[in-house]
Amino acid sequence: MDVLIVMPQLGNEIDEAQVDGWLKAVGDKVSQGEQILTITTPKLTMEIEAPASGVLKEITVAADELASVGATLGIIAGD
Amino acid sequence: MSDAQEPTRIVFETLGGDGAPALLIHGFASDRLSWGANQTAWQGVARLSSLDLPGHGESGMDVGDGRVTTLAHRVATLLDEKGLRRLHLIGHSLGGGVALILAHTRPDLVASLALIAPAGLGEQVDPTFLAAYPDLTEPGETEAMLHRLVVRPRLIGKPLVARVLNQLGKPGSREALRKIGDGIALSGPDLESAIASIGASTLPRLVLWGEQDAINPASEKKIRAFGGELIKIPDAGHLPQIENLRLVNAAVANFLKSIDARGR
Repeated sequence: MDVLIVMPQLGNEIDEAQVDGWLKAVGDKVSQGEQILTITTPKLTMEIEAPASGVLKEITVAADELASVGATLGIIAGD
Repeated sequence: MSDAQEPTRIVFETLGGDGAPALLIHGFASDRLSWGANQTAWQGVARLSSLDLPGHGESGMDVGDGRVTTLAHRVATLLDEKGLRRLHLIGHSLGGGVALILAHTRPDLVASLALIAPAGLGEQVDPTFLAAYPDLTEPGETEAMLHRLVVRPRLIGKPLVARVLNQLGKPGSREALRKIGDGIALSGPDLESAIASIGASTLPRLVLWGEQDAINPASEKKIRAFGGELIKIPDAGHLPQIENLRLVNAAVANFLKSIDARGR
Protein backbone atom coordinates (compact mmCIF):
# COMPACT_ATOMS: atom_id res chain seq x y z
CA MET A 1 0.00 0.00 0.00
CA ASP A 2 1.33 3.43 -0.89
CA VAL A 3 1.82 5.86 2.00
CA LEU A 4 2.16 9.57 1.34
CA ILE A 5 4.91 11.67 2.88
CA VAL A 6 3.17 14.96 3.61
CA MET A 7 4.44 18.46 4.44
CA PRO A 8 3.33 18.89 8.07
CA GLN A 9 1.57 21.81 9.69
CA LEU A 10 4.34 24.08 10.95
CA GLY A 11 2.58 26.89 12.75
CA ASN A 12 -0.25 29.28 12.02
CA GLU A 13 1.83 31.65 9.92
CA ILE A 14 3.67 29.06 7.84
CA ASP A 15 1.96 28.11 4.57
CA GLU A 16 4.88 26.48 2.80
CA ALA A 17 8.40 25.23 3.34
CA GLN A 18 11.40 24.38 1.23
CA VAL A 19 12.68 20.85 0.85
CA ASP A 20 16.34 21.15 1.79
CA GLY A 21 17.34 17.68 0.79
CA TRP A 22 16.43 14.02 0.78
CA LEU A 23 18.38 11.68 3.03
CA LYS A 24 17.13 8.70 1.04
CA ALA A 25 17.00 7.98 -2.69
CA VAL A 26 14.21 6.41 -4.70
CA GLY A 27 14.47 2.66 -4.23
CA ASP A 28 15.99 2.85 -0.74
CA LYS A 29 14.41 0.92 2.10
CA VAL A 30 13.07 3.12 4.90
CA SER A 31 11.83 2.37 8.39
CA GLN A 32 8.90 4.06 10.07
CA GLY A 33 10.20 6.93 12.18
CA GLU A 34 13.49 7.16 10.26
CA GLN A 35 14.47 10.65 9.20
CA ILE A 36 14.22 10.78 5.43
CA LEU A 37 14.33 14.45 4.42
CA THR A 38 14.94 17.92 5.80
CA ILE A 39 12.78 20.97 5.26
CA THR A 40 13.27 24.64 6.05
CA THR A 41 10.59 27.09 7.12
CA PRO A 42 11.13 30.81 7.66
CA LYS A 43 12.40 30.04 11.15
CA LEU A 44 13.74 26.52 11.42
CA THR A 45 15.12 23.53 9.62
CA MET A 46 13.72 20.17 10.67
CA GLU A 47 13.72 16.54 9.71
CA ILE A 48 10.70 14.65 8.45
CA GLU A 49 10.27 11.04 9.51
CA ALA A 50 9.05 8.21 7.33
CA PRO A 51 5.37 7.64 8.10
CA ALA A 52 5.70 3.93 7.30
CA SER A 53 8.26 1.23 6.60
CA GLY A 54 8.85 0.17 3.04
CA VAL A 55 10.66 1.43 -0.04
CA LEU A 56 10.86 5.06 -1.12
CA LYS A 57 8.92 4.79 -4.35
CA GLU A 58 8.76 8.38 -5.52
CA ILE A 59 10.10 11.83 -4.67
CA THR A 60 7.43 14.34 -5.60
CA VAL A 61 9.14 17.52 -4.40
CA ALA A 62 12.85 17.68 -5.08
CA ALA A 63 15.54 19.44 -3.06
CA ASP A 64 15.41 23.24 -3.11
CA GLU A 65 11.75 23.26 -4.20
CA LEU A 66 8.93 24.83 -2.19
CA ALA A 67 5.85 22.90 -1.13
CA SER A 68 2.67 23.92 0.64
CA VAL A 69 1.57 22.54 3.99
CA GLY A 70 -0.30 19.32 3.26
CA ALA A 71 1.43 18.75 -0.07
CA THR A 72 2.73 15.28 -0.94
CA LEU A 73 6.52 15.30 -0.82
CA GLY A 74 7.04 11.66 -1.72
CA ILE A 75 5.53 8.20 -1.65
CA ILE A 76 6.55 5.08 0.26
CA ALA A 77 5.53 1.67 -1.00
CA GLY A 78 4.65 0.20 2.37
CA ASP A 79 5.74 -3.25 3.54
CA MET B 1 3.13 51.80 14.52
CA SER B 2 6.80 51.06 13.94
CA ASP B 3 9.18 49.59 16.48
CA ALA B 4 11.02 52.91 16.59
CA GLN B 5 7.82 54.60 17.73
CA GLU B 6 6.94 51.84 20.18
CA PRO B 7 10.25 50.34 21.30
CA THR B 8 8.80 48.36 24.22
CA ARG B 9 6.08 46.69 22.17
CA ILE B 10 5.84 42.91 22.62
CA VAL B 11 4.26 40.93 19.81
CA PHE B 12 1.84 38.36 21.23
CA GLU B 13 0.01 35.77 19.17
CA THR B 14 -2.88 33.50 20.09
CA LEU B 15 -2.32 30.17 18.35
CA GLY B 16 -5.38 28.27 19.55
CA GLY B 17 -5.89 24.72 20.75
CA ASP B 18 -7.87 22.80 23.33
CA GLY B 19 -7.24 22.89 27.04
CA ALA B 20 -5.74 25.17 29.64
CA PRO B 21 -3.82 28.23 28.46
CA ALA B 22 -0.11 27.82 27.76
CA LEU B 23 2.50 30.33 26.67
CA LEU B 24 5.54 29.52 24.52
CA ILE B 25 8.65 31.58 25.30
CA HIS B 26 11.53 31.23 22.84
CA GLY B 27 15.27 31.37 23.39
CA PHE B 28 18.06 33.88 22.77
CA ALA B 29 18.07 35.27 19.20
CA SER B 30 15.04 33.15 18.23
CA ASP B 31 11.39 34.18 17.97
CA ARG B 32 7.82 32.95 18.27
CA LEU B 33 7.87 31.23 14.87
CA SER B 34 10.54 28.83 16.07
CA TRP B 35 7.88 26.61 17.69
CA GLY B 36 6.45 25.47 14.37
CA ALA B 37 7.60 21.88 14.81
CA ASN B 38 5.93 21.60 18.22
CA GLN B 39 2.83 23.71 18.01
CA THR B 40 0.49 21.21 16.41
CA ALA B 41 1.35 18.48 18.92
CA TRP B 42 0.67 20.71 21.91
CA GLN B 43 -2.48 22.33 20.57
CA GLY B 44 -4.20 19.02 21.25
CA VAL B 45 -3.74 19.48 24.99
CA ALA B 46 -3.45 23.24 25.55
CA ARG B 47 -4.66 26.57 24.26
CA LEU B 48 -1.39 28.02 23.01
CA SER B 49 -0.08 31.54 22.74
CA SER B 50 3.40 32.74 21.86
CA LEU B 51 5.32 35.97 21.90
CA ASP B 52 8.48 37.61 20.68
CA LEU B 53 10.61 38.60 23.67
CA PRO B 54 11.88 42.20 23.73
CA GLY B 55 14.73 42.59 21.24
CA HIS B 56 13.54 39.62 19.18
CA GLY B 57 11.39 38.97 16.12
CA GLU B 58 8.87 41.74 15.54
CA SER B 59 8.92 43.09 19.09
CA GLY B 60 10.48 46.42 19.99
CA MET B 61 14.22 46.56 20.46
CA ASP B 62 14.21 48.33 23.84
CA VAL B 63 15.39 45.65 26.27
CA GLY B 64 16.22 47.90 29.22
CA ASP B 65 19.24 46.52 31.02
CA GLY B 66 18.77 43.18 29.25
CA ARG B 67 18.54 41.13 32.43
CA VAL B 68 16.27 38.11 32.50
CA THR B 69 14.28 39.72 35.31
CA THR B 70 13.68 42.81 33.18
CA LEU B 71 12.40 40.70 30.28
CA ALA B 72 10.19 38.72 32.65
CA HIS B 73 8.76 41.93 34.09
CA ARG B 74 7.85 43.11 30.59
CA VAL B 75 6.13 39.81 29.89
CA ALA B 76 4.24 40.02 33.20
CA THR B 77 3.03 43.51 32.31
CA LEU B 78 1.78 42.24 28.97
CA LEU B 79 -0.03 39.29 30.58
CA ASP B 80 -1.62 41.66 33.10
CA GLU B 81 -2.81 43.91 30.28
CA LYS B 82 -4.38 40.90 28.60
CA GLY B 83 -5.91 39.63 31.84
CA LEU B 84 -4.15 36.28 31.51
CA ARG B 85 -3.50 34.15 34.61
CA ARG B 86 -2.36 30.64 35.52
CA LEU B 87 -0.59 29.85 32.31
CA HIS B 88 1.45 26.76 31.65
CA LEU B 89 4.80 28.21 30.60
CA ILE B 90 6.87 26.34 28.03
CA GLY B 91 10.23 28.04 27.75
CA HIS B 92 13.45 27.31 25.90
CA SER B 93 16.87 28.53 27.06
CA LEU B 94 16.50 32.29 27.70
CA GLY B 95 12.73 31.77 27.57
CA GLY B 96 13.08 29.11 30.25
CA GLY B 97 14.91 31.64 32.42
CA VAL B 98 12.12 34.14 31.87
CA ALA B 99 9.62 31.47 32.89
CA LEU B 100 11.59 30.72 36.07
CA ILE B 101 11.60 34.38 37.08
CA LEU B 102 7.89 34.72 36.33
CA ALA B 103 7.06 31.69 38.46
CA HIS B 104 9.10 33.17 41.31
CA THR B 105 7.99 36.79 41.17
CA ARG B 106 4.45 36.37 39.83
CA PRO B 107 3.21 32.94 40.87
CA ASP B 108 -0.35 34.05 40.14
CA LEU B 109 0.54 33.99 36.43
CA VAL B 110 1.97 30.48 36.35
CA ALA B 111 0.27 27.08 36.55
CA SER B 112 3.30 24.97 35.63
CA LEU B 113 6.75 25.05 34.03
CA ALA B 114 7.98 22.94 31.12
CA LEU B 115 11.56 24.06 30.60
CA ILE B 116 13.85 23.09 27.74
CA ALA B 117 17.55 23.68 28.49
CA PRO B 118 16.61 26.76 30.53
CA ALA B 119 18.98 29.53 31.54
CA GLY B 120 19.59 29.16 35.27
CA LEU B 121 19.55 25.37 35.47
CA GLY B 122 22.61 24.83 33.28
CA GLU B 123 26.27 25.11 34.16
CA GLN B 124 26.45 28.37 32.21
CA VAL B 125 25.18 29.73 28.91
CA ASP B 126 28.35 29.77 26.80
CA PRO B 127 29.60 33.37 27.10
CA THR B 128 31.53 33.14 23.84
CA PHE B 129 28.29 32.30 22.01
CA LEU B 130 26.41 35.19 23.62
CA ALA B 131 29.23 37.61 22.90
CA ALA B 132 29.89 36.61 19.31
CA TYR B 133 26.34 36.08 18.04
CA PRO B 134 25.31 39.77 17.83
CA ASP B 135 28.38 40.56 15.73
CA LEU B 136 27.81 37.90 13.06
CA THR B 137 27.98 39.31 9.55
CA GLU B 138 29.30 36.55 7.28
CA PRO B 139 27.31 33.47 6.22
CA GLY B 140 30.22 31.13 6.86
CA GLU B 141 30.85 32.23 10.42
CA THR B 142 27.10 32.33 11.06
CA GLU B 143 26.66 28.76 9.88
CA ALA B 144 29.57 27.64 12.05
CA MET B 145 28.08 29.42 15.05
CA LEU B 146 24.65 27.88 14.50
CA HIS B 147 26.20 24.42 14.15
CA ARG B 148 27.17 24.68 17.82
CA LEU B 149 23.47 24.57 18.68
CA VAL B 150 22.80 21.14 17.21
CA VAL B 151 24.19 17.63 16.94
CA ARG B 152 23.38 17.19 13.26
CA PRO B 153 24.70 20.03 11.07
CA ARG B 154 22.06 19.34 8.41
CA LEU B 155 19.58 21.08 10.70
CA ILE B 156 21.33 24.36 9.92
CA GLY B 157 20.43 25.11 6.33
CA LYS B 158 21.59 28.04 4.25
CA PRO B 159 18.09 29.61 4.22
CA LEU B 160 18.20 29.63 8.01
CA VAL B 161 21.61 31.30 7.97
CA ALA B 162 20.29 33.97 5.62
CA ARG B 163 17.32 34.64 7.87
CA VAL B 164 19.49 34.94 10.96
CA LEU B 165 21.60 37.59 9.24
CA ASN B 166 18.45 39.33 8.02
CA GLN B 167 17.13 39.52 11.57
CA LEU B 168 20.46 40.83 12.86
CA GLY B 169 20.28 43.51 10.18
CA LYS B 170 17.12 45.01 11.67
CA PRO B 171 17.74 48.36 13.35
CA GLY B 172 18.55 47.88 17.01
CA SER B 173 18.75 44.08 16.83
CA ARG B 174 22.47 43.68 17.45
CA GLU B 175 22.52 46.14 20.33
CA ALA B 176 19.49 44.48 21.92
CA LEU B 177 21.12 41.05 21.76
CA ARG B 178 24.38 42.41 23.18
CA LYS B 179 22.48 43.81 26.16
CA ILE B 180 20.57 40.58 26.66
CA GLY B 181 23.78 38.54 26.39
CA ASP B 182 25.33 40.69 29.09
CA GLY B 183 22.08 40.56 31.05
CA ILE B 184 22.01 36.75 31.06
CA ALA B 185 25.50 36.72 32.53
CA LEU B 186 24.38 39.09 35.29
CA SER B 187 21.16 37.19 36.06
CA GLY B 188 22.70 34.32 38.02
CA PRO B 189 21.61 35.50 41.48
CA ASP B 190 18.05 36.25 40.33
CA LEU B 191 17.77 32.83 38.74
CA GLU B 192 19.25 31.12 41.79
CA SER B 193 16.61 32.75 43.99
CA ALA B 194 13.89 31.63 41.61
CA ILE B 195 15.20 28.06 41.53
CA ALA B 196 15.39 27.89 45.33
CA SER B 197 11.84 29.16 45.84
CA ILE B 198 10.31 27.01 43.12
CA GLY B 199 12.28 24.03 44.39
CA ALA B 200 10.51 24.41 47.74
CA SER B 201 7.09 24.74 46.13
CA THR B 202 4.55 22.29 44.72
CA LEU B 203 4.50 23.92 41.30
CA PRO B 204 4.39 21.17 38.65
CA ARG B 205 7.58 21.28 36.64
CA LEU B 206 9.33 19.36 33.91
CA VAL B 207 12.89 19.85 32.64
CA LEU B 208 14.04 18.60 29.25
CA TRP B 209 17.66 18.69 28.15
CA GLY B 210 19.58 17.57 25.08
CA GLU B 211 22.25 15.09 26.15
CA GLN B 212 24.85 16.81 23.98
CA ASP B 213 24.02 20.43 24.72
CA ALA B 214 27.21 22.42 24.08
CA ILE B 215 25.70 25.87 24.66
CA ASN B 216 24.10 25.44 28.09
CA PRO B 217 25.06 22.04 29.53
CA ALA B 218 22.71 20.75 32.21
CA SER B 219 23.76 21.16 35.84
CA GLU B 220 22.71 18.00 37.65
CA LYS B 221 23.21 19.76 40.98
CA LYS B 222 20.93 22.68 40.14
CA ILE B 223 18.32 20.43 38.61
CA ARG B 224 18.27 18.22 41.70
CA ALA B 225 17.69 21.30 43.86
CA PHE B 226 14.96 22.45 41.48
CA GLY B 227 13.15 19.12 41.64
CA GLY B 228 10.48 17.91 39.28
CA GLU B 229 11.05 15.49 36.46
CA LEU B 230 14.18 15.62 34.26
CA ILE B 231 14.09 13.98 30.85
CA LYS B 232 17.36 13.76 28.97
CA ILE B 233 16.87 13.87 25.22
CA PRO B 234 19.22 11.68 23.18
CA ASP B 235 20.60 12.74 19.79
CA ALA B 236 20.10 16.39 20.67
CA GLY B 237 22.12 19.46 21.54
CA HIS B 238 20.68 22.81 22.58
CA LEU B 239 17.57 22.55 20.38
CA PRO B 240 16.01 19.22 21.43
CA GLN B 241 12.54 20.49 20.52
CA ILE B 242 13.71 20.40 16.90
CA GLU B 243 16.42 17.74 17.00
CA ASN B 244 14.27 15.11 18.68
CA LEU B 245 10.89 16.70 18.32
CA ARG B 246 8.84 13.52 18.61
CA LEU B 247 10.21 12.81 22.08
CA VAL B 248 9.97 16.42 23.26
CA ASN B 249 6.50 16.91 21.84
CA ALA B 250 5.25 13.78 23.57
CA ALA B 251 6.93 14.61 26.90
CA VAL B 252 5.46 18.10 27.08
CA ALA B 253 2.02 16.94 25.93
CA ASN B 254 2.00 14.15 28.54
CA PHE B 255 3.12 16.60 31.23
CA LEU B 256 0.32 19.02 30.40
CA LYS B 257 -2.20 16.19 30.30
CA SER B 258 -1.04 14.93 33.70
CA ILE B 259 -1.57 18.38 35.23
CA ASP B 260 -4.97 18.61 33.64
CA ALA B 261 -5.85 15.22 35.12
CA ARG B 262 -4.85 16.47 38.56
CA GLY B 263 -7.23 19.37 38.09
CA ARG B 264 -4.73 22.16 38.53
